[in-house]
Amino acid sequence: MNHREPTTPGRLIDPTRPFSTNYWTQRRLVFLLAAAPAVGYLLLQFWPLGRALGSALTDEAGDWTTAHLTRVWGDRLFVRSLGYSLLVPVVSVGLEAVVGLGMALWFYELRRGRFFWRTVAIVPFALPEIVYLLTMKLVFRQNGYLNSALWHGGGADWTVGWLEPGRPLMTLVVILVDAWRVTPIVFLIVLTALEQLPVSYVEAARIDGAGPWQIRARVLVPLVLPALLVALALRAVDAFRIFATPLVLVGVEAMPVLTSVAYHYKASANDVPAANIAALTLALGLLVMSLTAWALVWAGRRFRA
Amino acid sequence: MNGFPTLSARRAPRGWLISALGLALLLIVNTLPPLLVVRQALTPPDEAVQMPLRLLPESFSLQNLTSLWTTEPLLDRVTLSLGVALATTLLALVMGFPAGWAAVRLARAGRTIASLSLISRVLPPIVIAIPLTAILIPLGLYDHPLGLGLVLAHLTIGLPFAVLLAYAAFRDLPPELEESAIVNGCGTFEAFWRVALPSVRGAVAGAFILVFLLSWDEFAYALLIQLTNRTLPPLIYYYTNYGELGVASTLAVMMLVPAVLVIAFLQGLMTRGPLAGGVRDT
Repeated sequence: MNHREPTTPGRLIDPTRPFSTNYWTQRRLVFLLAAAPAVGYLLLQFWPLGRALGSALTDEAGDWTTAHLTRVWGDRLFVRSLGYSLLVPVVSVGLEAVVGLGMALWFYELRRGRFFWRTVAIVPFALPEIVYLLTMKLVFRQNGYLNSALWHGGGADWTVGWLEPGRPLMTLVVILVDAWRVTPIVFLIVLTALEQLPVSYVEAARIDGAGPWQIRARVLVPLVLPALLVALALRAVDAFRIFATPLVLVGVEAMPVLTSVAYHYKASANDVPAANIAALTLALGLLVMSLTAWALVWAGRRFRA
Repeated sequence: MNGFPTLSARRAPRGWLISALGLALLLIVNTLPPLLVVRQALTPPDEAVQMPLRLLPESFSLQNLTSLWTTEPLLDRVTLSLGVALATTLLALVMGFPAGWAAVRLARAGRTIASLSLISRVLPPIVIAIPLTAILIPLGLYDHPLGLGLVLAHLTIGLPFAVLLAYAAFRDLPPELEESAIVNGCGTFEAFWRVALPSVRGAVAGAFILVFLLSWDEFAYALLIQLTNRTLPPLIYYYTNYGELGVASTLAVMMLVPAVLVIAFLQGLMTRGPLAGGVRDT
């Protein structure tokens, strides 16, 4: 379809459609309309980003300095936040992969009430983030509903400090709460991929004598693996940006992440250069992660082809 | 066309039971917590601190709402949140849909715009918000009573989203429709306004819902930019932080109302593919 035949004189629309490529690119208005958002991004994102870089590396007189940089890198809160910011994506993506894939395989076989159950499954994602986090705070806090349920079951001894600062359990609960909100994305992407597979694949495997688990492990999972990997790559980048969940559930000190530390510098001492350094570290990390994710997806496609 | 998959010739009764238990668990885990927010909002504050809590409170009261009404300029907060969300949505759609259409028609150059939109969604709000406040302060837009600065900030997430949605919608639209309009005497903009745009009404409605909710639910920018003239999400955060969970829950219930209304109102517009078969393949 790529070959072009010369347009007959006097005929504007050619069946091989050079019209679209020729006509629109000659209209200045079309370029202006397309460029408008780019100007917006430039003013609202790249300009602030440049300013952040500037304020992080200059002192009040406007001279270059690394003073802010060394101070932030010596701050224990910042160093701890680096650890948590790396831990969250690893644990979170692992959980989402297992749960998202498991739920998709389970819902794939569901016969009745598919629409209803799918809606139920995406409720955490459909709620506004802050409302979801408030519900989780009500459930997990010391005097919360989960501890109340345990109390009703076995008395006060059964209550657990789910969000008690400094314990691994707290970290796990925070990551779990965050992962549960976005697992529906992974679940929906994988389920859509599953439902697009011809049912005949499953039938062929069954007739050849494969059991249900063999079909899942040897037929379905390998076929939806590319979709799963794309979803997880997106999610890993997203999990690195985690902000509201640890902030609302346990606060900055108990579980600092890069975003919340940047917010903390800005809000508590109004220390803009320090806040900018934390923010830029985050941006740099995201750049590395996005490139890695992109390379993985690209390599995966090449590998399949 | 695609029937139900049958993984096993015999349906195992035990599998059915496990599936039913799993669904029951899912129903409880996902729908009980939002209901607990409603319960918390309607519980008098002194009963809410008792331990252990019961599933249903002993008495219901609107005490949380009345204390919120007296301590907080509630109406201002709600109108600010609504105003910011509406302004963000309108600006994002007015800029985003023409841009998405132009990007599709420009083919190669347009793909650059689309990927630029994708990249600009990767940066987290915090990275932009901190230096953005430094720009907004001298402009008088920081902590603006009408939330003008926040609208600009929300555009950084709403605009790329609108562009990408528009791009996807117009890509499925046969260019022959506009081409025949132009042959019949339409200008470039008219071809967009009278032919292309009405054909993707469903996508416009969908984008309206999504961008509106994006702004209405947004927390990080609002926390940093609206320091005293707060929108609802940071307000919920502050009350949660001060331990006033009943008041925070009341606000949370209020946040859910417009979200549900907007979806219900615009659902009717979301008809898909009205132009399928609009062009004859020859």
